[in-house]
Amino acid sequence: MAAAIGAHAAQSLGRRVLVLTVDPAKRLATALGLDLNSSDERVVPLEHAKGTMAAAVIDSKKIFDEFIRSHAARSEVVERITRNRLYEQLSTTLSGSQEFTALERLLQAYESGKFDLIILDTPPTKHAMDFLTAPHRISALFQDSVMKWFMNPDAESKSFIAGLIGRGTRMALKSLEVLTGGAFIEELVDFFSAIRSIQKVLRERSERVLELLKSPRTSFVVVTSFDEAKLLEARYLQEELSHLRYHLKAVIINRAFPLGVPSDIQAVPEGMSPGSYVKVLNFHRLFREYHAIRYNLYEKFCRGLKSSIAVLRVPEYQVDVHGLSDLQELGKVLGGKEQGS
Amino acid sequence: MPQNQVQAPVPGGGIKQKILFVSGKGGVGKSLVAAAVARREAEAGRRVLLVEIGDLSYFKDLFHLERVGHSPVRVPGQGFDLAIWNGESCLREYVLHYLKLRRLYHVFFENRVIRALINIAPGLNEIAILGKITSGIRKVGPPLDYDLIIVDCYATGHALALLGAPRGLMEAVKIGPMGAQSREIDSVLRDPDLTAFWIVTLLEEMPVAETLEFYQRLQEEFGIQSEVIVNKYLQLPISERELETIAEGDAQGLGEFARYLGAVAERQGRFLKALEKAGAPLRKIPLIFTTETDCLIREAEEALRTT
Repeated sequence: MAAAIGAHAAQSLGRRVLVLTVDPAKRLATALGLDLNSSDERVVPLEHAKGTMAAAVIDSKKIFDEFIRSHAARSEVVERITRNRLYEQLSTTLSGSQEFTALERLLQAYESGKFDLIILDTPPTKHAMDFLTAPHRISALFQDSVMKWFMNPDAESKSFIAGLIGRGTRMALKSLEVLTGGAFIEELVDFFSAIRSIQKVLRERSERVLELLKSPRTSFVVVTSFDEAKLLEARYLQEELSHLRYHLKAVIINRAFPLGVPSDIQAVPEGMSPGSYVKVLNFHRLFREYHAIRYNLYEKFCRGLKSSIAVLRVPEYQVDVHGLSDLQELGKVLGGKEQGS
Repeated sequence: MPQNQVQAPVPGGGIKQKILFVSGKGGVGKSLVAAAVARREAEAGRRVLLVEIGDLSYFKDLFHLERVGHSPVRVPGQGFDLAIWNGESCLREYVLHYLKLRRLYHVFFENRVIRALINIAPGLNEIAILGKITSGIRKVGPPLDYDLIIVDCYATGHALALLGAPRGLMEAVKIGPMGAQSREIDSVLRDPDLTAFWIVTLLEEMPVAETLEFYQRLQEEFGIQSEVIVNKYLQLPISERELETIAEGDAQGLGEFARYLGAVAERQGRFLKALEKAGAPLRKIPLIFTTETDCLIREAEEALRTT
């Protein structure tokens, strides 16, 4: 869907577009001209396009490493961080890293000034919220009060108040040590004290991302499907977005009923076997009834949305949307409806 | 607990607890399949707990429940229990169980440093969740009195990160309780007698591509043999040849619908072949023409019973 919106913006509206994706399926990557082993931006060839479209896969490990390299003041700091075993896990296999790196990549693309429109493909709903609250969490972690402990966990505090806070923290950390073991804590302390030198820039970057996400220039689009539970999830996401003061601009409902089927067939056409024709006719009726129920749910959902939010329906396609030409077609459908809504 | 005890027979010859993870691309119907299998197993007389992961319960509104939380609640009319677990709730329970002292527990969780740490410490949330899911088998923490734990898991990408966390942590932290628990959890996940994995898919390009990738990575990285559940399989009322006749002969009437069905049948066949080629054991749940949850679950349950 992200690629289709991008294709439309580049083709019909003449925008310079970048589509960032965390983990595309192989065939989509091929269609977009992406090399799965590289995170470089690739130009996507679009026919008769007024604008341009580029796409890139977000490589967490690479962005993490580059970030550390460009912001750490000294080379031994870079080495200390990248050598830390928790850092290795954080930047490669463990979840949580995707949120940070995808947002950092978004900010870099924005600051480059090379694009009119940047589209970031986020994970499904359950993780979308983790994703959108990542800047809050990162800046909370790098508050001075939190960092201080990791800088020197055993230091006796000189001030009375700081001493009290320190004791509570020490007690809590001791408990954590009992539960997880000294080795884990050691790695953590090493990790946090190593990144101390880039604390300021980490906090600044996450604050800047937050600013960007809240800016009226940033729109959120929720893609959902014609299903009661999915629509409920979409409504929840809408509420959370507004709570975070992000701007939800559109809801796209995917896989709507196949279009263009007449509703009033009475007689079996000549030359048709009545048996099989009636079976298909009955089957069609089932489809239509099913669609009618779903349509009611959809209307109920729309009534609950703010009037500023556009709702777009994408029909179920006879063929799968995966190649570039399909994406362009889908883009046109989205574009066309958008203007009408 | 030493690793060999994980495999120990249950005293008294009772049924050993098992875990089923249900994953798949977002939007393919994982939760519905998880609920259907929960109901099937409950009807077969097993004590079943359906677990959601995260903060947002998909089933709360679906089953019209007042509240779904960390502690299991019975789902009326379904025969199984439901709980939602996240990193923090699992960690809280674990800490309370081991620290015993409620005062210390409050100091622990109200501490700013700990809170920040829990939010971001690599792997801590994943280990807490997987630790809880496998706690019954490992006999760690509060008792988890079920024959089967069904996990309505994350979508494939995050599921891999979740499953990879114990291995990642045991490599990073070799000694101490964290390393030992990670090793235990990892070995439960890889034991086919204890843990099974289902990947739910639709017969469409992107979900199948993601399924094949997930299936292979489970095999290669975890040695896990998973099963694939094809959801919303469209069963045609007539043969493809008969459909073609209608598509060609009735351009004004049902022709377009027949062409649509023909295209769906062709696509389904193509993707089924791709899944079969990968060697994945398959089960099919037909497209059910209702939006009513209870009916959907019942029909899906029936399909899982017969395939």
